[in-house]
Amino acid sequence: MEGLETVGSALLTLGLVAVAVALSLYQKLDLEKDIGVAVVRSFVQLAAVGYAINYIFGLESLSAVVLLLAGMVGFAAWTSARRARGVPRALPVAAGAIGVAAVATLGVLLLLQVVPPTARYLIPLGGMVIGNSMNTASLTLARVRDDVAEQRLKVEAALALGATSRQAVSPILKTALRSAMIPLIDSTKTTGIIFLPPGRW
Amino acid sequence: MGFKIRISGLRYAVGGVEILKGVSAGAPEGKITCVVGPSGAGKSTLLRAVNRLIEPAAGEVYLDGFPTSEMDPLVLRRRVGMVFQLPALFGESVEDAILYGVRLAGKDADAGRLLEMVGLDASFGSRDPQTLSVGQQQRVSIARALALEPEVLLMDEPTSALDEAARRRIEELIGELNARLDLTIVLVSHALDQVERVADRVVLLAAGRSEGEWSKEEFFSGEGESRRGDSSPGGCRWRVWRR
Repeated sequence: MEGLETVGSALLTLGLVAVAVALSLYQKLDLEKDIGVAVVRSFVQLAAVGYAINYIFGLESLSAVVLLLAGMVGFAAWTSARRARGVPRALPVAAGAIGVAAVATLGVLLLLQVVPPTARYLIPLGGMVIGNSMNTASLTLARVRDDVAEQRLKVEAALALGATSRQAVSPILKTALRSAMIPLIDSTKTTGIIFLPPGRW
Repeated sequence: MGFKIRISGLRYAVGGVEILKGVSAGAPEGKITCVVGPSGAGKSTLLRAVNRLIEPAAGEVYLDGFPTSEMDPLVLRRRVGMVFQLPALFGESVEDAILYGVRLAGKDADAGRLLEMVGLDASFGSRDPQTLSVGQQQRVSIARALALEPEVLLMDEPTSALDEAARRRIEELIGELNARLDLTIVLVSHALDQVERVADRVVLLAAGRSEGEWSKEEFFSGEGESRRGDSSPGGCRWRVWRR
């Protein structure tokens, strides 16, 4: 009976995905392929990572956890870089940003002994940090690319007036970072009201 | 003739398409050199290569005989100013817009004096640049380039977005600046009437190649054309464009 319920839930979830696809078609958003790929990937990835995590939990090895987190950073960077096609050196930039965020956040939590250095805590926590950083990196890179293309004249004018590349794109970078941080800041602001941390309630 | 800028065998390609196919030309010191040619000839690309907004695949640009590829691009761009087709001003006030480059260089300039130099009242300094007409904005963009006291001013079709009256005023300003400041000016234009009014010297580009360079008088008397010979491919293109 439990198996049938699980299949039923999965089908119901896919029904919601079908609604999203239908909306995309109706509004001509051209997101159907993206949605389809995302759904298939999430099924495959969750199944695969479930086995991997189960194995690592069993190993109780910190180096295996670090390896898995490094793999997650690499995959997140690759996803961000794909979203930012056309941005030079997007992959190392995204990898650096996501990696630094993961190391800094988990490092502080470990140093302050907020969480113990075990797979059971580090992997889900690391996943959340890496996932959030990936979203921010994707939004920032895509926005910078679009704004530089749109404001090419201003960037060229600044360069022609003796600005360095960094100075020329600085206003664009600030706007992109501000926009990309909005979802994170809003979810932090509403934690406890809208976003409730998972746990025993 | 002393050339302030000399371009030799310049090549540039983007996305597998060759835009400049070995351009050679010169801009004499203190003169107005007009770069002319049909659309897609590579005129704007050539101008961008002069102050290294793009890096050529081959060839060299010399400033006072010194290869610009060996110069710091920031220093080069302060010596060789540029005015674009559209003004693209930034900053909250006209004064901010004018002083952008000098402030980056850690210097200061008199924005009021610069505004008067381009025929605008000093009181414009406090205005929001976006409230000005396109013609006025273009004057401000010229003042912005002049603030760095460049030795050469590159102008990429600076009047193409303007109406006839504003266009004439900018042309007069170009002549005044050249005469008053002894400024070497390289002006890209596709309007032959404009070239006839402002040029000292004319460089003709077609399909990414330099077809020749002449004094304005030679160019408009047709001497340049006959010198190349009617059978040359450049001669054919020139006749097509001139029609």
